[in-house]
Amino acid sequence: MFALVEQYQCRVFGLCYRMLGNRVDAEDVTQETFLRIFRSLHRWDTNRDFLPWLFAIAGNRCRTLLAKRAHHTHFQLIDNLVSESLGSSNEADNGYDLGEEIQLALAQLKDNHRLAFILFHEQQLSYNEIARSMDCPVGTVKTWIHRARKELAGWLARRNPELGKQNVLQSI
Amino acid sequence: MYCRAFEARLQVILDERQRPEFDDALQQHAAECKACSDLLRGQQLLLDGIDLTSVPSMEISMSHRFTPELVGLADSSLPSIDSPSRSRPWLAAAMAAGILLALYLVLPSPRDREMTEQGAPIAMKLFPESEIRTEWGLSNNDLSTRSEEITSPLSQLLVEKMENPGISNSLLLVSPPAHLAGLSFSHAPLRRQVGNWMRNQADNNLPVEKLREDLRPFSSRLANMLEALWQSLGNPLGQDMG
Repeated sequence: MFALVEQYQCRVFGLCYRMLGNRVDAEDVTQETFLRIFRSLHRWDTNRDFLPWLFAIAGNRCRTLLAKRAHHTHFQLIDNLVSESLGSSNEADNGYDLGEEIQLALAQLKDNHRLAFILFHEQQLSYNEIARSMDCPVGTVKTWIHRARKELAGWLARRNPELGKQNVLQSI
Repeated sequence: MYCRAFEARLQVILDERQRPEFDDALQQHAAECKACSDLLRGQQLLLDGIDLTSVPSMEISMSHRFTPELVGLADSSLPSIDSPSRSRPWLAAAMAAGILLALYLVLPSPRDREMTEQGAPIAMKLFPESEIRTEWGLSNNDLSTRSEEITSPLSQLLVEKMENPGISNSLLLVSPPAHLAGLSFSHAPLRRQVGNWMRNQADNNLPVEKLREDLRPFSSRLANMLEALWQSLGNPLGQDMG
């Protein structure tokens, strides 16, 4: 069982961190995810892939936590993101850090869009696996990911110093 | 190219996990359209951000953080070994059948010895050596002298599987602690048993592909459960075996 934890903990933690934007919460949810895995292993359909099932549980735990703190989500999330990225950035001196911007941009997305995007682009799951994991049609997953990409790209383009400067000059 | 066609093509390329900046058609349109150029640049930043930035590492390996939780989980879900509630009326009959099967499976046949000398059969490749925890360094012969004690509960599971090939693994293992409570918590006998059983099944002309597909999750699931029991309860037969 510990081998299972060792094998998947980084991926689960990565998903949780991207979803929650907070290391402590991500570690707690990762732990909770594995505990739930242990408890419900007997319910796992062994003919199905393990990873989508694992991510389904992790994603649900993340969304549950996000719903609990929904009343102050954005303020807390963004505060956490900024405080966590300070000091770890190579680009913090000039005020622009791509990693921080990615986390801030992800925080703007709807939970489902963010989860689908992370599963596809960071965890490298296929559309079918994401659909199974999130228990929704493949077409819905595609739509969520497309919208997430567009919103994220728009955010990054607006916040990018070079592109932002160009846009300001053009508006003058 | 129109802007809508640009966006559609951009999504297709991203769906294929390709980089959009290497697509000539997208680049041509971006050179003519400021909005699409910004969108393309934003997507490049996004992919760079995902590829180049990483999440912070965990403070400590999760397995260390888990130990007390797992022990508590196992303690609460496993019946006490000495508990009278564990006795089952059908257990004696099943155990007898299991012991007979275990003896049949464990005692090496000339063909088994030949296969061992030739190298691991394909079914045994399902259990990578790196996962095997043989901390006692005993030979197979030493372990097989305790075959009844070690293998009968597992054999009971395997008998059920053989007699009901259509039964789902989930259903078969719905109460694994009761089935596995008597096991030695050693991986080596478990793997040998499963491997022998698979070889036995293969001798009955079952397609290997079918066996692999059907039994891989079954056997790895058993190994996972044994891992949990091992980590939680230690090795109650360790003194005898060591």
